[in-house]
Amino acid sequence: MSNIPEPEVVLKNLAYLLPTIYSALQDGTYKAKEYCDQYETAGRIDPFLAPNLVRYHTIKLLQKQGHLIDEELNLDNVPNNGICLSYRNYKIRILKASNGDLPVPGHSKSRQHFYHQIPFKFMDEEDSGVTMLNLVLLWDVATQYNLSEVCLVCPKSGGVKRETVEAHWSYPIPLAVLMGEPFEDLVPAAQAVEDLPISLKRHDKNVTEGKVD
Amino acid sequence: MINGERVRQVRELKGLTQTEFATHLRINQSAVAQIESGRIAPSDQVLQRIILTTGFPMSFFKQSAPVDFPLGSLLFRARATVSARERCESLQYTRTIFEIAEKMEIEIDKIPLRLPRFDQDPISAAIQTRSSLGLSPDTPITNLINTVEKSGVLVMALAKVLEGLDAFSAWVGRSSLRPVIVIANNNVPGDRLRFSVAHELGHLVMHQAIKNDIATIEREASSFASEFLMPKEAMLKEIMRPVTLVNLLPLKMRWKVSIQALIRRAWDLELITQRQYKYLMQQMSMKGMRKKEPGKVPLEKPRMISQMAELIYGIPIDYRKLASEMNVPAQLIKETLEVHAMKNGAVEDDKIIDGTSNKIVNFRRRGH
Repeated sequence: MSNIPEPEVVLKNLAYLLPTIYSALQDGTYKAKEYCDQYETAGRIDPFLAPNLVRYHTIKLLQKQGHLIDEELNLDNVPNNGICLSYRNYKIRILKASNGDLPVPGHSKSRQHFYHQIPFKFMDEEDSGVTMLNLVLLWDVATQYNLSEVCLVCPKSGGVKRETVEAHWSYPIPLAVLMGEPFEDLVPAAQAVEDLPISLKRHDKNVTEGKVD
Repeated sequence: MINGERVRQVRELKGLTQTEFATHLRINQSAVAQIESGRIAPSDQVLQRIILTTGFPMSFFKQSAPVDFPLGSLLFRARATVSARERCESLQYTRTIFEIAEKMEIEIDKIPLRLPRFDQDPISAAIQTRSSLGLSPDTPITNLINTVEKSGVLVMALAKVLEGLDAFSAWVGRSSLRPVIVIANNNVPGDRLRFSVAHELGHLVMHQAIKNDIATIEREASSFASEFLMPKEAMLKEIMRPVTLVNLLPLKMRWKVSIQALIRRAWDLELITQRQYKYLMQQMSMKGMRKKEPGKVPLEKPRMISQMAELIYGIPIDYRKLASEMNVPAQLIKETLEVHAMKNGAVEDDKIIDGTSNKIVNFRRRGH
């Protein structure tokens, strides 16, 4: 994909969805922790089970609320409780951060294609002409399995090894936006040209509003 | 009789060596050296070639030598990042623009100089400079370049991007010295340029007389810039714990400084430990944010030169007249004004400069 939009443009377009996704993830992390507290020894958080539970509960909530946000929002079927949303020209995968960064696709061809911005098509499918931008919404947890950072990443490449993973950009989503405040507040308006306190010395010339030869 | 120093000025401005210039003029290098030193006068034929090659009019070469523009802060840090040729080119470009500014200033009531000079530690100097410029200690500076210009500093931007150096500064003048900041690279994020300008302001305020080694001087200017753009008093109130990239983004947009500068400031003010500092910087590296930070701070442009041109030569600016009175090519004027803040409608299109727009040519003919 050649024309990657600026993160501010994408965030502005998605700002409407983000509070719902964030609250679904919060609900998911809470329920995962609750489960571990109840069934795991001494409340130990199982690092493999817990993210799966987060995804499961997040999907449940998004399925329940998603259509209320926007009818253009669709949840794709992804195995193993994977979360992939389609919204307008965006394809968004919700993934847990791996050491704060994009997880490595490994041998998964579909994940590799997603990172490389290669559109998915069925073999007999004709080209619709619409280019989707693939995005990753990275979530992470702090101590006590509380949801910490949520970051929007536009992946560029990714293969089997860690060093192959690259992003066009990465944008930590401000908490205010996740809580539903307008994103426009974070985008400053273009700077107006501000005049300096100077003036012409000689006032006999007709020059202040344009000079006529 | 032409001035050899002017020939050197234009050659270096064009980024040519004496040998390269000699090839264009179809003479040898030693002849160029002698013309530049004033030992010989070029023949009419060579003079015509100089004019054709450089695009500068004859009147430019007949002027007396331009004001000497000292290296200033260019001396401190450019050696590692900028080649000698680039340094010459940008200095000659600066001399040319500075001369244009000085000529226009004759027609203008200038802003009195309010920039203080201190011989003390950078933090106190920054606090007192803020106070001298009428800035409160707990509010962000909305337009830094405009604020600096209002204090009587001439801020100029070069149309040619000088990679490896964002800005430099010097006290310049024949009889009395005046502070000048030159923006040498406006192809950088707005927050970075603001820090560079504040850094140069620090040099102007503190380093007219150089007493320390270059590394110390640079460190002092950066400390000045940090305190000037992110005052301690305000940062202690506004940087909330836990310090995360998410929390710093709104602060970046409010204070118009980079996230990296905020992380560094938080460490300097002991709001985070060295370990947290390293972790946050690692996070930025891993996410590719050190190359491209999230959050866009608009690029500020200097206003003084363009406003003077608008006042004297009208809106839209009469480039031909301006270029003719300044003895420089119209294209140089246009390129220069384009990197300065201009009013809507002050920019003419290329056709007007080339004189190929029938509408404008007819209008001028009727005027005469």
